[in-house]
Amino acid sequence: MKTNTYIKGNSLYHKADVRAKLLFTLLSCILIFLDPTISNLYCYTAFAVLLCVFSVGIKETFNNIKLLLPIVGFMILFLPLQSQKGEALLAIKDFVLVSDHALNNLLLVANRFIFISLITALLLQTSTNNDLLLGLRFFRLPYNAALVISLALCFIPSIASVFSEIRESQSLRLPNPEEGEESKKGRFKKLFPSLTAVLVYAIKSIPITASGLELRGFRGKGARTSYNKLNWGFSTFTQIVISVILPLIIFTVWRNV
Amino acid sequence: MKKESVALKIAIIAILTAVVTVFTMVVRIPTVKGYLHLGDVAICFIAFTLGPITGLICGGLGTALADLIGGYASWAVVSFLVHGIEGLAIGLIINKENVKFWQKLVAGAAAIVIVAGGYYLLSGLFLTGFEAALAEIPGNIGQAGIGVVLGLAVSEAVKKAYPPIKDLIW
Repeated sequence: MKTNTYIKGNSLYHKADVRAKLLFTLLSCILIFLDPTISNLYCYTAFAVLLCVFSVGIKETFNNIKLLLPIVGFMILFLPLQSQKGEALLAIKDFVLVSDHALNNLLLVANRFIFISLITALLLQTSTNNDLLLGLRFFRLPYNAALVISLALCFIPSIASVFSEIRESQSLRLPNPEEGEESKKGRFKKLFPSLTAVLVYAIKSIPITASGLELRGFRGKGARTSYNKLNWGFSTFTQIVISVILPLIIFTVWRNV
Repeated sequence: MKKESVALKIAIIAILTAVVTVFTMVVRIPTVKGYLHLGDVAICFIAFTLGPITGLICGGLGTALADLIGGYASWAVVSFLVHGIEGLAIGLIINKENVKFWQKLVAGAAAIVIVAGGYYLLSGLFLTGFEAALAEIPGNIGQAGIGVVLGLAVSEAVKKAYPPIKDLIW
């Protein structure tokens, strides 16, 4: 099972400091809501697509967009519902299928959705989980919260693997493993013993993990010394300043064009 | 181990967050409009068994992590809020030893309203627009409903299979 979205690469965005990328992503997602002009939103989306292409390649950009297509499809499908306002662009007799108001709204929401999805996906695809956690720690994420996320990320693969092992062994307990019930009800029924077994396994590992943490000196009072830190220098400072100024410049320039 | 131990609390939250993420990502039952996942089963189980605070943190964090890892990063904040509140509400309604049937019904109804309403409201406001968000309501109702029923059943089964689980409630 995939447990992180990081894609190895050597692009400029890969090399950028994770703190700058976090700020840039957050600020871009806020600014996109402050600019309701369609032409500007096209520019933002095109910018996000280009950034994706140059950072993670055409194939991964296509994969990112592919995940969004069903939702954009639903937006288009529900277009007639909001087409009762505005001038009719497409109608069957008296029923307006597409109005200028609805089309404008669709383009606005779809562009915004694609931009937010691509820019957040890009952050995760160009930064490792460890770097992201260190970046969040820099922005004062509490030590205990970072520890929880880090431990959870470590446990996801092992719990997933235990889950599939339990499901396989449960299916072998049937008279003929090939003859399973195909209905959704049947599938849920078959899942029940597996779910219980996985939860018991996970809960049994809680006291062991807690003992392990205490044995390693964790007492919950203040952060422990960490050798794994992000560097701080002129380059990082410049990147952070750029990550704040760039979205603001783009926002101001495009708004006034 | 002391019940008040911070290490124990961290271990409880971390492992159960991982459980919510795995249940959300591993079991996906395809439907016409997308897929149903079992994340709600894990959230309801946690809220029923271990109370509102654990339900709030593990429900929110687990589903947000599943969204981030699964490529649906834009939904992570929405999932964090909706499923976190779902876990909190269920835990607050059912947080006793002898739970009555009407309490289970109220908890189930609350979970359905929070998940379906929360996704409709938040994704309508910030992501997809209200018309497209409307299409998600039936799927979310089904998913939350199944989550509550299975979550309750699994909670009873786990309590019988591993009685020391009571020591982990805080």
